[in-house]
Amino acid sequence: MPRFTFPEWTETLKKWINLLVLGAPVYLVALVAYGVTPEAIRIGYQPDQPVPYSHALHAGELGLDCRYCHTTVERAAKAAVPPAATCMNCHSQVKKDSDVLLPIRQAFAENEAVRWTRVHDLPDYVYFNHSAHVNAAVGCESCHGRIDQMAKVYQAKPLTMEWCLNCHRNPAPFLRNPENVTKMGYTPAAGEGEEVKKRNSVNPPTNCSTCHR
Amino acid sequence: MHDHPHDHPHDHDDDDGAPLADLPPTPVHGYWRSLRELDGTAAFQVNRNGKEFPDGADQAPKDPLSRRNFFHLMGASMAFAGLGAGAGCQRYEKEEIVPLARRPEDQTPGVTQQYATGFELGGVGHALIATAFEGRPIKLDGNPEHPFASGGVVKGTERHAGTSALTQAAILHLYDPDRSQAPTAEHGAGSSMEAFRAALAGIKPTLGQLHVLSEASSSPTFRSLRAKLIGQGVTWHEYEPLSWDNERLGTQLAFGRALRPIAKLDKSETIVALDADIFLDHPAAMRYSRDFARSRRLEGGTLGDGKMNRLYAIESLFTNTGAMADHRLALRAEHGLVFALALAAKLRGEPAPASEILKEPKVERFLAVLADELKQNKGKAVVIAGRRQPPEVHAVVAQINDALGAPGATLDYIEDPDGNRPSHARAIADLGKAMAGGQVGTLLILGGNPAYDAPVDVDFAAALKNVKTSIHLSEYRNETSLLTTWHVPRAHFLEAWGDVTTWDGTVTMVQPLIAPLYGGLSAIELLSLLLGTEKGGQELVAAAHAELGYTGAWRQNVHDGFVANTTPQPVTATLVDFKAPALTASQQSGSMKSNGELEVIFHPSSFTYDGRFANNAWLWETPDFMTKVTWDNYALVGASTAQSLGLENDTMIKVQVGGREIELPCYTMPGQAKNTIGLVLGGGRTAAGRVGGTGKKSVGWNTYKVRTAAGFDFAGKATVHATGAAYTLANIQEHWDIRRGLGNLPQIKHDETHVNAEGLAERLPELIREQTARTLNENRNWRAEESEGFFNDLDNAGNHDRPGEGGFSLFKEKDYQGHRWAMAIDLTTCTGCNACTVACQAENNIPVVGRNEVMNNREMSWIRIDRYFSGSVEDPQVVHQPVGCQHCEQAPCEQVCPVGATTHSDEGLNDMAYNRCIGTRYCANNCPYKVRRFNFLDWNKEWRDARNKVRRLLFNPDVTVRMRGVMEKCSFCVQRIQNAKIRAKAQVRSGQRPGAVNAPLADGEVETACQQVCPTEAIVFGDLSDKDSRVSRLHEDRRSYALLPETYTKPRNRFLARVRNPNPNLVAASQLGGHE
Repeated sequence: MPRFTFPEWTETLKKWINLLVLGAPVYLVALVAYGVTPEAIRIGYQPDQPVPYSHALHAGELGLDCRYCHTTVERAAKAAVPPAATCMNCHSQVKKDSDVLLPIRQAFAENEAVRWTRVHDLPDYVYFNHSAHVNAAVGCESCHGRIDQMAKVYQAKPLTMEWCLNCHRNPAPFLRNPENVTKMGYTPAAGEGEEVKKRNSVNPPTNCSTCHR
Repeated sequence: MHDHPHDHPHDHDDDDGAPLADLPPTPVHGYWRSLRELDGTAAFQVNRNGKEFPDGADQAPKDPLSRRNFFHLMGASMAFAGLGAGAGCQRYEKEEIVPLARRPEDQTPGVTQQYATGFELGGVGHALIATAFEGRPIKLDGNPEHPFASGGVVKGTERHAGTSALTQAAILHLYDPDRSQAPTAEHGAGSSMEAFRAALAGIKPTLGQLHVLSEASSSPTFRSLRAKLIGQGVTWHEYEPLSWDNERLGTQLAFGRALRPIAKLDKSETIVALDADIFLDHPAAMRYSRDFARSRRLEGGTLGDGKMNRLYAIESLFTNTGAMADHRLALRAEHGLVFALALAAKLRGEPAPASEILKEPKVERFLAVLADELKQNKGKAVVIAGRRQPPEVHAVVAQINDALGAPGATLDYIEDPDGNRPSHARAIADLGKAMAGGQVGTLLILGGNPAYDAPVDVDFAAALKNVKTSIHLSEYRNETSLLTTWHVPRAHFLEAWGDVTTWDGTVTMVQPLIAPLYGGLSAIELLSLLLGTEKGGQELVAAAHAELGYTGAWRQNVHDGFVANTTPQPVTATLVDFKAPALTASQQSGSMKSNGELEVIFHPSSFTYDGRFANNAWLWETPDFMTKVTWDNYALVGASTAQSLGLENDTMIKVQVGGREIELPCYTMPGQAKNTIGLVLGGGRTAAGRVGGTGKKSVGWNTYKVRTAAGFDFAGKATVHATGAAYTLANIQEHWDIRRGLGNLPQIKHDETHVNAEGLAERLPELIREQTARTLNENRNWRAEESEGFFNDLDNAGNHDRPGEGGFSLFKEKDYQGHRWAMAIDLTTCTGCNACTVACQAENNIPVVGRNEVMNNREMSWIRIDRYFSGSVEDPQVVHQPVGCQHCEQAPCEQVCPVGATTHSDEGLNDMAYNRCIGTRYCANNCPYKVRRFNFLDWNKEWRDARNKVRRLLFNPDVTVRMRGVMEKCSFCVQRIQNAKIRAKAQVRSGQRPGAVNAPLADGEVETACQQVCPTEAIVFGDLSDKDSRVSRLHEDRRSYALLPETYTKPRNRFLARVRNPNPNLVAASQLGGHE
């Protein structure tokens, strides 16, 4: 019986096989490593909400200011999701029989809460304060992205410590005149950030206890 | 500075000091923490010999993992790791945002709100401010608007209201899952509120046969309902196991009517406490502490610069008042009358009563000097007798105060609102008799726990069997509830409307902050049900206030927390003829007694008060003020008495008194009166809850078993024997010893194995710095710290030639811009009351670890109060020193953290990032102050149980709840700093506040939790960048010093030296005098 020999052309496969054997683990490690980065996991997180509230419609098309609903953003750590009563300000007149608004009407009538799912979630050992940032004139958009274009809110930025520190170390590019804080798609004029930083004495600390306590 | 003692002659210039020969042998440096440290006993040597931690401190608890279990668990966690590819890549746990359907106008989610409310303990009201986070109360503090509670001590403080440790811990009960949650009927069968109401309706027609046993209440609403019920024929009894009845009865003897003396310590130059713990045990303790501190300040005090008060304490057990006193005399409790009579006689120039005790040289001298000083200080002195002393002593004290011209000057009398009530001991004894005789058909018990704490000869439990129907309103299903027909859950004071009066008579509002978690009733609501008018608490209080004609709008009163203009005016008291009873044979004897004639003294517990706080883990784990024991009660025995009776620390003893006996562990207390046994009340509960004891597992020992109606306060003719059994008390007094490892102990000072012992030992007394007022007044240049920091007098070459010229540092020095947070702690006014420790626990979510882990050095409290004795064992002096993180500018902990989890902030805080900590514990080992605490186990584990869900509501949401394996320590309440800064900056930027964005905050805008509760304002926190802030001024004070300056840590916390004010004519052996 003749001995089986690999045909000569298989010699060319050898280096590819070697490459695969050596390269596959590297590739897999790289893949997993990237897969677990906050960029990969968190950005784009878009949970379902009990009411399909569209920021694209309210903040974008209708042009409601962020602060119409998120009333506490300038004076408290939390930007406070509005109570059902705020929705009912309009929806007792507008679309008052809409099916999708049923949970809101129910909550309002029964004095029960609407249970929203948190999109922008920081670890419990992080103490973020909205009022500190809004009063320092950081735009909403800087952390939340183009909310005015989101029919369903998703996380647009990684919200990692490194990402926070980028701004805390060099805030000027992210500052704008206070009247523009809630404006979406706003590009600060050249030198606007520097000017605001100086005028408002914005010197964000980078101490551990700034955020962790 | 001790390198050249002879260069500093004023080190020894204070001739107030006793001749050194008078001093018994003490450790070289004068301060000791425990008797065995003083003796250097074998056990101490073996166990601790120069080590920082006891053996076993780094080992896992005994119960947990066997090897097999370990692999079991490892297998499981491996399996999870396998899943990790899936699990690990997911987001955090999904969270919900749950907004209210309608948000109340004044509520901002995430921002705390403050409401005025009140709290009652033993019939005495305390005005409070409760902090609520999104509807759940998380913290209690004193009401700084309240006329009785408020007032500043430190110059620059306008309003400040301290609270006691008990008040701080009272909030824990609100969220206690062990609280009773539904009524029970027929001795334990489950029932409902409706059934109970129906049962109550059955009682209503026969109100004339109803007896009510109530705990004391100062509530005007309660009293008005009580009057109505009494009008309908109800028989009323009132009982408190710890009561100030003796004072009231004493004024009745002295004045012919019941009055309440209220001392004005801020105007008193000489204060005499006769068996009275005026800083902890007195109903006005918070006010007295504050007023005492006001006149205790040599510079800027209420008596004028260069003057401070002088406190004399005559007491049986060693209390904090004795620890604060300039002169302390230990006398058996029964000798209180002898002393009072002798003092009164001396003031009148009459012969003293015949008693051996007065002939003992120490007593004689003390009495003579005290009488002289009182005579010279007429109108500027006051005498206060304690609750334990019989009415006759209070009557004699009233006479003394009258002779001193105290009324109107240093003492006010107000009418007692309950003048004609029989004493509590008498009331319960009478009721017990009536019950045993079958004369009580229906008994309603409002609060309290008489089956546990009534005098043993009343035998309340047995008498209760003769009562057909009994109802117990109580927060817990306690020992009494188990015996009554009905038990009804009582609402916590933060759950119900009510009112109380503070000790001065000011009507104080009690406002609920949360709806009853378990549907309980308040006492006034129950009384209203009895009257057949079912009204809510708010209606009842409002109706009573209208009826009593209180002024002020309801809303205003609720907002302020008190009803204005309700404080009674002082009355003029005229003495009537009163002759003190003849002395008993025992009172006529001296301090020497044989076994069988010992005196037993009942002492309130720092943990449970009278037992009612027994399910409070915070309090159990807070070390007792003087003994530093946790999680137990015990018998206190004086050191020499213990020696002569053959008793030792940590052994079981049997105490027999009046034919009854009890076994409990012994604690030998230096300085306690000879031949006395102090029995601490409030332990050994059998139905307190999972913390304080259920069934046979209880914490501590039930000392009520030997307390009779006749021997309610103290009793004679007791016998004590060691049983031979050993029992280790969880005592922390030798834990966290700063001096350990520095080789200070005389026994190891010359041990060659301790290389650093010799030189370092020389400086050790400086942990505590003391001086006399006289030296401070005579030597204006005296400073607690002669040179500013140890290294500042070195030049760059390390020579000592250039004192005070800054210079040489091995470390990179930081240049601080902006805020520089700092603290000052005044040892002159710190009474060691533990309030700061418990407040810190509440504010910072500090876990408790339990008795066994405390014994392993694993207690977690961020502030410990070091208690040092000095002088002789029989007559020691005490100084308390609260030590938390010193926030060193050159922090040794930061140098050794391998992961940068503890770093320094720009504002000088020593930050701790829990999420970064990997638990090497290097930082704790390198901390010279021993203030870092490690989470050896998952202390918060049990709060994740579904059953304990309610307990989690108490957590302060502004502070991370730490997990196993991370280090923690005092943060200077960084959450309060950050919030205040953010608030101020936002206000500046939005134009609501003038000034620059980075300008210092107003002094006092940030208060740490410990500062806020301190009754004497001994703790002051603030910003050093503000030169006018209180903390800046205090750091500049000549009494200010840093702890261990030679380690060059540059702490941001500085202590102010303890100033004592001994009478030069009475410098006893114990007086420190000339040692710095």
